[in-house]
Amino acid sequence: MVKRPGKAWRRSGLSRTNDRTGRVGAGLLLLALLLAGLPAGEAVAQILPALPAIDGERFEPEVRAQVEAVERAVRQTPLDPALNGRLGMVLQTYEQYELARPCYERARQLAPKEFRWAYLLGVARAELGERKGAITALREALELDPTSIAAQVRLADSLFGAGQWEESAALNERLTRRSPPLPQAHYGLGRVATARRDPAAAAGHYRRAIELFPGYGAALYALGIARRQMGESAEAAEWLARAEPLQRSRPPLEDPVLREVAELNLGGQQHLRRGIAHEAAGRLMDSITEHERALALNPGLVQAHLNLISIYGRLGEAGKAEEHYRAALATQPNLPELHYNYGVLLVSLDRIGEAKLAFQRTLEVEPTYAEAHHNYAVLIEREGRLEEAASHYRQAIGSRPGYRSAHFLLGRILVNLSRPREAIPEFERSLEPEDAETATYAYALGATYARLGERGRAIEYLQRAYRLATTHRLTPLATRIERDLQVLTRQ
Amino acid sequence: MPIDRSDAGEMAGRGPRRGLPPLVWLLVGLLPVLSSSASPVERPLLRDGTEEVGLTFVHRAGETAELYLPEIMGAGGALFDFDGDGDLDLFLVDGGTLRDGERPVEGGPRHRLLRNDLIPGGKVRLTDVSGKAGLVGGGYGMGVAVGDIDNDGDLDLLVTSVGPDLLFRNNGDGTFTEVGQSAGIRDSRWTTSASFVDYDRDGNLDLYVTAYVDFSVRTHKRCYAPTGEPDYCTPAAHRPIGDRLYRNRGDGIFEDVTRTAGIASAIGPGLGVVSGDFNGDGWPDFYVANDGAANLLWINQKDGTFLERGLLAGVAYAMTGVPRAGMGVTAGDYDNDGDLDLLVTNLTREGFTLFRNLGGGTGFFDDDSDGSRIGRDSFLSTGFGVGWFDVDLDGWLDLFAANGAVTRLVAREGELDPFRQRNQLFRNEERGASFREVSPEEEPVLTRQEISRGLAFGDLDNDGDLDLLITNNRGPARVLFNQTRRSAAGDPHWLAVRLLGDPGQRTNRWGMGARVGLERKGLPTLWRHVHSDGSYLSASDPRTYFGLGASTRVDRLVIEWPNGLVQTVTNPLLDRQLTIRQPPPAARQSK
Repeated sequence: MVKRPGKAWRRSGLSRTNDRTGRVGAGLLLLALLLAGLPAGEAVAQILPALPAIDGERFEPEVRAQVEAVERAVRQTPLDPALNGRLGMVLQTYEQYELARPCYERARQLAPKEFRWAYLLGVARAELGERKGAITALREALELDPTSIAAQVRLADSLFGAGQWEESAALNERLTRRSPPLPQAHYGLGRVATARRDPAAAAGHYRRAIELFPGYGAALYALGIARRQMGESAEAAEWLARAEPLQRSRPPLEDPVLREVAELNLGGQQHLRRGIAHEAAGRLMDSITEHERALALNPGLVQAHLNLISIYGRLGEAGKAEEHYRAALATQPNLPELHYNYGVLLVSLDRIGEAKLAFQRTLEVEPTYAEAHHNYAVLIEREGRLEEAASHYRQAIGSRPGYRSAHFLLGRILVNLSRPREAIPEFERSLEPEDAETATYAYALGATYARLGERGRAIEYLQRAYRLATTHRLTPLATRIERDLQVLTRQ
Repeated sequence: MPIDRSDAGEMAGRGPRRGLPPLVWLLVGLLPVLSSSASPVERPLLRDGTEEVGLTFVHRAGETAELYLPEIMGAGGALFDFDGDGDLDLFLVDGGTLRDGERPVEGGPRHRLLRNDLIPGGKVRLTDVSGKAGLVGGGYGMGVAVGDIDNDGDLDLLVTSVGPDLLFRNNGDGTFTEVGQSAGIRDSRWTTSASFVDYDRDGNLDLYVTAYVDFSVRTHKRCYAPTGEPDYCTPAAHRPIGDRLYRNRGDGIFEDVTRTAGIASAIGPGLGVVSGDFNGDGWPDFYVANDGAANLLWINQKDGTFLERGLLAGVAYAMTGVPRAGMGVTAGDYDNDGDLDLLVTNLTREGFTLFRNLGGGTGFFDDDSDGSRIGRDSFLSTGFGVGWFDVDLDGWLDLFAANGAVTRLVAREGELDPFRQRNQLFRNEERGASFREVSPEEEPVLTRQEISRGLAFGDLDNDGDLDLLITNNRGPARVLFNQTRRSAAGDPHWLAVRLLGDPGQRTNRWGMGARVGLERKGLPTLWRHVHSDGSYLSASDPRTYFGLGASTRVDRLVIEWPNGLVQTVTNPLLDRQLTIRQPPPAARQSK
């Protein structure tokens, strides 16, 4: 049976020279070339991996200019490690790991005592699934800078991925003893324990990771699975449910090298991503800046227009919001989100007639758009068109099962149409998950049971509503519920 | 009246050899004597037989500069015996072109039905009988599911699409009639994989159809790669749409029971579905692979309803708790512990996810992707069609994955067609504890790089091992012959089982949903479930194949019929297809 050559060797002809043994071999080859009379620069160039062939057409214009500028500089000075490395970083920031890797390999050979090239080479190899190569490079990086936490965390992760559990665990053990404590290290230990089929030990490590970073989605999920493996299904279900909304939430990891890589990104997508992140954090002005920059780089980024309609709308800048609506309409007139966001904007401006048209346009383009059905129903309900509104709420629920607001509003319409019995299941479906909103929905359900003469159930739900209202400090609501409860209990 | 094609009893022997003249038999008999001093040569197990069988189908994706999402998704294929002559035929789904709100003047899907002339010709040769068959119509073709919807003994087809689903009833005379609308299947959304299984155990095959996202040409979005160049969108750019469950009433009507069965309570961009009894209670469940969202495990409540249990079961996500792509899915007992395990194919840099069933009726699974090495070795693959099958007939299920990229991010830069990838074969080693990826040097068919999508399994040449049908996006379909039975001295033994259910006993004609166990002294029982679903957009032969290695005796076959009846067959003859008819009601215990 022919042994298949390693992936790293096969993909990058000389990358096998980048491990220690390979560098010795490269050194001998260099010596041979020098002895053969080759000028030093040429000799060195011979043993380096080739620069990647970069197709500039693939990049949007500003990015292309950036990449080409660095590439030109490297080709003019091919033995400059900083330029080689920078080209790798620029390519990596646009996720071109296959192209970045040979750049880092060159930089590494030209400047073997520079931590960042060994580290970035390890990162690139890990992204390319070259676990053994990643481990080698990250180990070398740590020899150059043993204090790099980011390199240690990545090395532990790569060791685990390569099946080297003992070494991964040992490294994570050392990381747990540092101050401040590192949740990633505990999570890493948990993964090893899970792989060793020791769920009790794994659960302990995951718990510690969560104590250090309560929003650690992966640890929450892993803890749920460990609890289930221990036979504690009920507790497992709770942890798993907690993990779901936090799937991509991770503890931060200080990594100045990768931060530098990220900051090189000039692409529209990156600005869009930053804009979204700013918006999520409530930094609306920063968000606008990033979104506008994204559009300047790539006017085709309709998502940026969509987001700006929403953001400007919230800031009360209707004119700007409408500008973005028109700009997006000119590019992609049949995007349902475009008309929907515009409809929401118009509602905020109290331009109800136009808002209805916008939601209708949304539904023409996308008949299953749940939120558009919901909002349109809200508007026509106000006009007394109850049956029609009910139909739209039902369609919203059909497209988005569990749409709580739609269930509740449908239930309310049914009560107003003197069909309280039909309203009951709708209100019931709006109760979960239990949160502040549930207070209102439970109140409605209790009131409906009261209307039906089912006093016991009415009191049950009103009490639940009251408890939730007081827990969540919804004082006016709690007061109303309390009054109704008193009436009911006196009967 | 459709012809009843059921056998009166066993079908013995191997098809191709019966036609050889005596002189050839004499020479064949001499060969072992002449070559007895030579050492056995290890030949590849798989061989590309596309050209020799006359398979010339090329999928049309209708790609445009707009990069519409369906253009990159490919289409599926089926291996099934449409004419009941004892050999497997091929059905290939075509894409066509995408239009919004109008029928294309030309460029509609050209699905192909290819008749296998192995019987009576003696050799696998395909004849295009599409014209006569009537398998036309529909939107942009996606997938195919196979099942006997009317229990008349012949296999019918469902073709999914971006556009109307088509249900083709086999007329038994080489033609099909499209009955979808009249049968109540009126879904014009983007549907993908489908599964025929009798979920309510009334003897009629019901239908689960996965649905993807709310794409239309009119609402098409432009998406970009990190470099800023235009690229295909991911499903996250669209809104998922819900799957559908249809109950076969047995009178030609499929009733949409999605809501009442509880299937509407969770939705995701569905691409793959497989049925099976995942919690060991005797009732079929469904597992759905969703693209970039939680996978769904629908557990049959035995009252016509289902509850979604993927999260607690541990199969909604891989061990990191983050959704992965989720395109193809396969169910099989790879560790021979008696329960159905699951595997889902994902995107490059995610790795495939292997879920090992913990058994004991819990319905719980553990993520064994890393321990098995499959996760690691598939890290750079974007997998679609996938299936467990015993490539070397040693009794342990191996795995084949049909791979091909979907976005430039994961594509091979600088190449003429950057979306091409190698397919992969993983051999089961250490009795299910781990798998070894087979190299292209060992199996040259794995050298080829294409944009593979669909994958179906079946014994095309009736020689006792499973062959493969692979579909490629905007490329040729391929047949890979399994040469295990001819690869070395001491061919492994095998046994194929075709079930004949009795609709009068609430069992569908092909026994789909049944479990078949093969017992040998001192060896683990091999359990296989009877199905045609799984993989991606494709349908496999519903017959069940067992690899027996060097075993020359099988103590017992145990058949757990879908209606709960348990039947046993003692000491069956080997190296043949065995047709087992469901016994009359007086026999055996029930489950």
